Amino acid sequence: MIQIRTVLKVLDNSGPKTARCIGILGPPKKFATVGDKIVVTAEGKVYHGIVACCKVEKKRPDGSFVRIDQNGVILVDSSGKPVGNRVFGVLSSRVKQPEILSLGRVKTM
Amino acid sequence: MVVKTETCSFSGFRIYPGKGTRFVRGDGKLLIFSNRKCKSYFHMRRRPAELNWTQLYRRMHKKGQQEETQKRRRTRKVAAVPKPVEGASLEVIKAKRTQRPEVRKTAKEAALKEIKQRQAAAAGKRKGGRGDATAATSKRTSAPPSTSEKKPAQVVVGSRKR
Repeated sequence: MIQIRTVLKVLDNSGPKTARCIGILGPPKKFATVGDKIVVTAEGKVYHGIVACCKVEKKRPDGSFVRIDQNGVILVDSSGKPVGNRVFGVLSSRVKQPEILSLGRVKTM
Repeated sequence: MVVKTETCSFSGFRIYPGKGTRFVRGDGKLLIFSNRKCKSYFHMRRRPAELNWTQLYRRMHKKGQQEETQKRRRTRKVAAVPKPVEGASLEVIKAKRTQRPEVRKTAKEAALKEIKQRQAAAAGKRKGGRGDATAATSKRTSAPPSTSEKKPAQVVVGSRKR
């Protein structure tokens, strides 16, 4: 559940280490979850981001819940292309965007 | 139908599908908890080895394991019995075992020489009889039978590890 003012950890090698959410894209809603696009600021610049892992997770189709220990984001530009070219750490397996999954060895859980 | 169960990372209990939660730690390690009790204790940093009811504690203090070890001890004795192999009867094997290494070496070399002579002779025969196109294939097909014939003398005894 990512909302405005949430500080997320940047999981790629684009430069900044943390980013703060300043808006959620798409139909208006209060919270963003894994796979959603958000607007973030990082080191004075504005980027879009895709939420990669979230501390609060929804129930999965097989009945399991997976809690990941951090809120992570992968920075992308407004067209959806990732800013960095490597992803660190573990992502949620709900991340299905091919642009992200093709960034080298991506570990999803 | 056999259902695949997981084991709890804290208590060691079995987790059936639809139960339990998973937690991915910051370093990427996946931990599975069977219920909220185990999950909560884990986050409180309690050590499973100090809690009576966990499998880890029971293993460390050897609770309820005596029957298992007794059973295992009873069925473990398997004596190494030399068995005859196809092409080498028991006496041949025993004779080979007591053979001295130099004798064995010379016998092996002599056998290898014989094989090579036989193969060369067979290849020469086939080449003369059939023609060049089939010479290669017939040489290959003739090779295996000649080596299997020689197997009794070639049995290397004592190299099988028990």
